[in-house]
Amino acid sequence: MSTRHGRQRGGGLFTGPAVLLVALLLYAPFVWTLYLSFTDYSGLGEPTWVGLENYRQMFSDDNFVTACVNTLLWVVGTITVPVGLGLIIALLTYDLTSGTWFRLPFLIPYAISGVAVGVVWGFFLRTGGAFSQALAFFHLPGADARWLVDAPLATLVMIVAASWQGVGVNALLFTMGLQSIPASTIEAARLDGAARWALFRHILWPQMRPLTTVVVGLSLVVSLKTFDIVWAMNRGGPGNNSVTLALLMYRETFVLSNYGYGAAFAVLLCVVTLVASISYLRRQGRRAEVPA
Amino acid sequence: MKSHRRVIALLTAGLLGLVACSSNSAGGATETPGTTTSGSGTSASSPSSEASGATSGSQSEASSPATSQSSTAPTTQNKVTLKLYHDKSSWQDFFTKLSSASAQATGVSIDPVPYTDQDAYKAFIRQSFQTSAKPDLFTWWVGGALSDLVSAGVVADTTDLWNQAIAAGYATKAEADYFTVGGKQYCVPLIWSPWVLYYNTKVFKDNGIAAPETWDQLISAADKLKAAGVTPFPDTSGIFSYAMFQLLVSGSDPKLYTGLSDGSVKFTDPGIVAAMNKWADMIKAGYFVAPGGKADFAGDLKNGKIGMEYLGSWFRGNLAAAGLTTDDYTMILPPAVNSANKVIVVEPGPLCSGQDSPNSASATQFLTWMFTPEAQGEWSNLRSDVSFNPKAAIDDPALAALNAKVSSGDFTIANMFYNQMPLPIATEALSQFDAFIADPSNPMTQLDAIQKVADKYWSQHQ
Repeated sequence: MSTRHGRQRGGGLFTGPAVLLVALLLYAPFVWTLYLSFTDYSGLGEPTWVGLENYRQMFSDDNFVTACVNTLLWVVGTITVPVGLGLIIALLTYDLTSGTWFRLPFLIPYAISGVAVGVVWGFFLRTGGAFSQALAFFHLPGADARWLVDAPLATLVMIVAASWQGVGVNALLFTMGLQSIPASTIEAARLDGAARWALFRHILWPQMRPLTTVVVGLSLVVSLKTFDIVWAMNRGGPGNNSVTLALLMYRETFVLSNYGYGAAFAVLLCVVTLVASISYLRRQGRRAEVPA
Repeated sequence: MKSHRRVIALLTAGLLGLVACSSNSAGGATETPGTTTSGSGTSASSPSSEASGATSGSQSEASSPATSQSSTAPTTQNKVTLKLYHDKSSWQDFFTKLSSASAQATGVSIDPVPYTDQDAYKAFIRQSFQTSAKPDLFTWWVGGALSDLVSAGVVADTTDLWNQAIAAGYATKAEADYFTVGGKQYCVPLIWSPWVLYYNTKVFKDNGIAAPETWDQLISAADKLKAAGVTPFPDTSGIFSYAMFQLLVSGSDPKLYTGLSDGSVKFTDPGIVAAMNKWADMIKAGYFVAPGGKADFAGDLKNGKIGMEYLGSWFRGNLAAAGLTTDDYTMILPPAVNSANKVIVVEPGPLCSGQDSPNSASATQFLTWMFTPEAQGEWSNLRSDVSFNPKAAIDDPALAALNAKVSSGDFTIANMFYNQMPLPIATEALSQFDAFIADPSNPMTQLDAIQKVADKYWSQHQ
């Protein structure tokens, strides 16, 4: 007993610095941001307490409504496109001998930063850019489209750019899930006459639930905080028509030096992400408990 | 085995502790010059284009006896190097060369610290005032941005320096007004760039187009260019989305234009609406490159893709970097919409010193020297730009002529749009001008949106 107690005390001493680091770099800034969200602060002098004024202002801001709509588009788009495509790629390749080589080209973009993806796709999609020129060359419609200018087209093409980056890692995760299913289970289902769709629906999909929860959960969080690709491609313009919540947070804080107002966006984003993630995970957990 | 694990755990904890304790000096966060993160595709990478709200301020340091010091002769006692923080990464080499000149003249040299991202730069400067390492020298913006610093008491007063400079004929009262907050001057001018019209000399000559001297001639030139397959103007969306608005409104009525800066004129004023409608007509006539593309201002002028550009005189540096010489382009004052108006829009950009900075005396010495004809001649010729100092010796004849015109007193001097507007209004205006450029069918949509932000701002600040 004393040995166990001593080991725990010793373990606490060794984990202490790491815990302190996490507290300093994560929790302390969050508490400071929460405080700032109730103040008027321009980065000069001391913050002035204004209570809920920043939140009241946020909910009456026209740009906030636009940002919410765009962020919702990102959530729906990110969950359906890269997750859906990733699942399809995984299903098509998980049981192939050289399936890794088929998945590799989809995985490589994941190594590129979001800003780099935005710059490359911005070059590709700018008005009269490479994509428009290719469409014109093949006499296809869309050569005159202003991909990054017109709403909601700009948001949709940026979702495509983000999907190009994210589909590979989703395919990899789904492949891990599929390959973890015992081969005997799949073989038994096939022997019982299960066709591909029935096999997927009744055997593969239910057994992939833990991985699916992770993939969709991660996609949900990533989509809610979308910033880098949008900033790199068109800065949320023109006229704020493709702005997201994270972009508004950045602009209020670093462009307009409204640290308090920007902090309010940050807190709201954090709360929304937490609520969405926890709700989703709890729902998935409840479904897992219900017997099949 | 247990001791082996304990050693590993100790080493790991120690490493984490070292990581936590190590720091990057925030004061010298030098970002290597690279591509500017303007994001909107524009390639006009002049520092002035990024410094959209140059605020001028005078700098007199109450705590320093150097305020009354008029001599800038170097002594062996006052050889010092000051850090000069700036967001004009393409000017890093110019600052370095300026340092050599100032070291010879005053014994004060500068160590330029560039930031490539304007937002990160602004945040750094603001936060540095919360520390003991206040910046000795830093670039900033006039207008609301300077007023913010003055209100917080963090930028040094230079009223005495301005008074001395005006008495010596190095500057004018009208120039000092742009660097004045609450009746006092702050900072000194680093940039004083009039906005001019550039055109491709060969394209104009090949198409029989003369330099436009009236607005009608400008429109006629645009029509001829279009007929020749040359787009008259570039896509100005992004950081220059205010350019045409500035040209049209200041040329229509300078009082209307300057009235926007203090809220006495609304964006929904009939005169402003008329200017926007004129702009819409130009867009619909196909005078501009379609928005959303890559705007290579210098390259497109060079290869004849576009015929004219309206930018600050600092753009000459970009043109030179793109391989153009003064034989390839011509620079003129743009004609005003209303020919009775003789107005020049100038882009002032200040160089400031932090109040109670560690080397405030030397900073004052450097700023005093920056007023002199010798300093301004050096600085202007390095950048191929004009100077606020009419006595500065400008090598380039075209620039010297422009300098003389700006200083002549024959023109009304107006501030660049982004500089003269409070930042929240300017930021909203840029976004809405972008939207207007994309869809000019109903300018009232954008003007109402800008006015809404302006109403809110002026209700809190008047």
